[in-house]
Amino acid sequence: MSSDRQRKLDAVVARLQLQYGPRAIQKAAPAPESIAYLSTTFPDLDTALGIGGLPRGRITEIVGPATSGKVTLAAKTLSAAHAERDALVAWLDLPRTCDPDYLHRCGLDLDRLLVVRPRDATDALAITLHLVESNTLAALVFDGTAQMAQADPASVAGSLERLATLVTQTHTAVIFLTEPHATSQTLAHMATVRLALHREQWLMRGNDVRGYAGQVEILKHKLGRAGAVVPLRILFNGTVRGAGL
Amino acid sequence: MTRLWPAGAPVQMALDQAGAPQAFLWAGAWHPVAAIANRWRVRASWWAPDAEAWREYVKLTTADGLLCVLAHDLPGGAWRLVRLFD
Amino acid sequence: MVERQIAYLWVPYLGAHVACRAEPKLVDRPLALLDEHGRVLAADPVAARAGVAPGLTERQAGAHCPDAALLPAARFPIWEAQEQFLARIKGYTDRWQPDGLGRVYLDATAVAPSGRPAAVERELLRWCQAVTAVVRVLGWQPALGATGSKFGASVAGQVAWQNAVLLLVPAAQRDFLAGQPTTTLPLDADALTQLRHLGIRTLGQYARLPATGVLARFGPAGRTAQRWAQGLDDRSVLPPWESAEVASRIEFETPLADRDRLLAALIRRADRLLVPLRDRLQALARLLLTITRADDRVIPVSHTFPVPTAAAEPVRLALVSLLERVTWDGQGAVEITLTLAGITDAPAQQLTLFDPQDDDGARLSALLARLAARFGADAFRLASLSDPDHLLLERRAAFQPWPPWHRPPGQV
Repeated sequence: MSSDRQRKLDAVVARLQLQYGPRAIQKAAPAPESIAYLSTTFPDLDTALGIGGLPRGRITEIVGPATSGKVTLAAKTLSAAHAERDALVAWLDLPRTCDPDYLHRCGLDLDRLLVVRPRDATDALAITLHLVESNTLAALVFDGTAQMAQADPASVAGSLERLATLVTQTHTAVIFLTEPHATSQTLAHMATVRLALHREQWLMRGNDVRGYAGQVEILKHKLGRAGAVVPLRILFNGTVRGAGL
Repeated sequence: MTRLWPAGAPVQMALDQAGAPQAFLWAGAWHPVAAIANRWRVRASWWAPDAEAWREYVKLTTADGLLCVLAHDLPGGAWRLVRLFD
Repeated sequence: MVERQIAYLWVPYLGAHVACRAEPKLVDRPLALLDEHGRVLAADPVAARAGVAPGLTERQAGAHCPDAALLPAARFPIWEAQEQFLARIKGYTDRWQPDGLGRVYLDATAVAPSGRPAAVERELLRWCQAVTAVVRVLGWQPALGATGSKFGASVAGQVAWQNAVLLLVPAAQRDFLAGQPTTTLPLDADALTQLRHLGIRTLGQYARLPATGVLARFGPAGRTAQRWAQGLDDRSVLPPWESAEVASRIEFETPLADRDRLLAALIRRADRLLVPLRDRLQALARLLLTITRADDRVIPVSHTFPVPTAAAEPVRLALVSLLERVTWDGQGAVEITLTLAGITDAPAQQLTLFDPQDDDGARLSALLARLAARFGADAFRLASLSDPDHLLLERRAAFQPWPPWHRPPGQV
């Protein structure tokens, strides 16, 4: 509501309350929007996010260096989407390092996973817009934010702004994966949720690394509270299925 | 997830006198090896010259926090990054 | 009693293949071929997945697939290829019936009329493989479906896709059809849309509807289609030399020279003749006019449709074209005989195995087909664990292009 209309409404309410008493007319805030979400499959993180997971119809950015667990976190969130019958998800694989074996171990159904390998970041963003607009996907992971720096900044910013508007009309959770040295101000601004991951320790069995533990910090959260820091443990043959990793 | 380079990303490897990996150059930076977590050798498709592969996989951690798997091509000697955990 | 066996042999995208063979540069972009009226006759896989279907106008085709080359079919030896295709299979059956470009029904009943079921099936399978082999020699990739009815065979042929044979024992036909989409029925677009809105997506669902309800809502054509969905299609393979025709004579009290009035009279009569064809899901291959002028001169003119039709618009366009070919010499017409000839089965409106509006998976596949034209088909992949236990990490999984007809498990 515009500020002018708001002032007029406030004036009417004030006048009537003055004349007829404070209970004659009451303003109420709009009911909290019910947010659809995708569980991250990490209960502590889902709780800290307040809405049960990562929001659908919004952009989430997960920031972390290599071996922080950001890619596993995104993959596990997609596996939660696959718990819904017939749900489809997409992995936008700009670096061309998508590992189907590991995705399958994270619980994804490869038959319901679209892997996109665009020529460059410009194509990647254009394809993302088309896919999100189609409203056929439960989730889309955009892996390769660093490559966006090679594209025309104005074009990237325009695409991200358009995406931020488009996605709210869909049920798709869009998740960007970003390395700390390659953050984009536009993306940081457009994201509804921003998470930062870092690894703290290896989980060992003898000399072999059987997983790792770290923390997730909620840097930004337009639909809940930012600031929480929760532990994250990724266990091979646990969080991720199967031996041999 | 792990990142997988199907063809392997070439790396420059620094070895100690015993031939153990000390550090590798990848993506423009040197990554000092912190510990070898596991290593295993594979000889696959030895019956098909075009598809034969004989290599040693080395799973290691680096001082800057990476967990990855490198492949050492035994006949040729080249080192490649094949898997990076993330 | 001898069990009927009917095969449906088709070469997907024959027209486009012929064009690309003649002009190899055409493979670089989507392609649609236009008939003499400027309507789509055939499209290649990319244009077809983008929604370019036979019968669309050039403008509609361009809207569906802006990158497509829209070229006249007459530029390429398409009908010669069709003749070659038919010539190859004539040696394998006495009764064959063309069903459009690169498509033909074959009566295979005589292949193995009696014997133990296993022996009959073996013989039939050998015959099916032999028929597809002779077409492969031409450089095409045919598919063949065979079962106890024409409709069942045509659907089985589509499911078989390229370079494959699908032979169904007649007893399994109904179960097989039950899972197939309603878009395989030769109903018009309006009827198919209605079915979609009613949540009727499969032939099995359609088959189970009350017959009286289907007749009331979709007319005799819908009821005929329902019987086919139930596996009760009793049509025979109708060779071209046995095809039926229906004729009707129009007499004018005074010689009529006004072209518009002549056309209006012909359209009215044609519409009356077309209704029973549509009800029986039939179509005509040729239209003939025999015009008697006021000076007693008799002038015959005829038109052959590229694809059999019972739709009003192609018939109207054909009548316009025929009247323009007549030499009037200032004379009016006293009598015109209108003949609908080569009456045959109506081809299915959309020979697809899914309706792009049906579900997310189908809509996604339709979208990817359009995006592939712009971003490259290689950009969209499906991953699979081809060898999950392979010792070499990089050989455990493989990528393939997202298949055009990919329907993830659980979806019809």
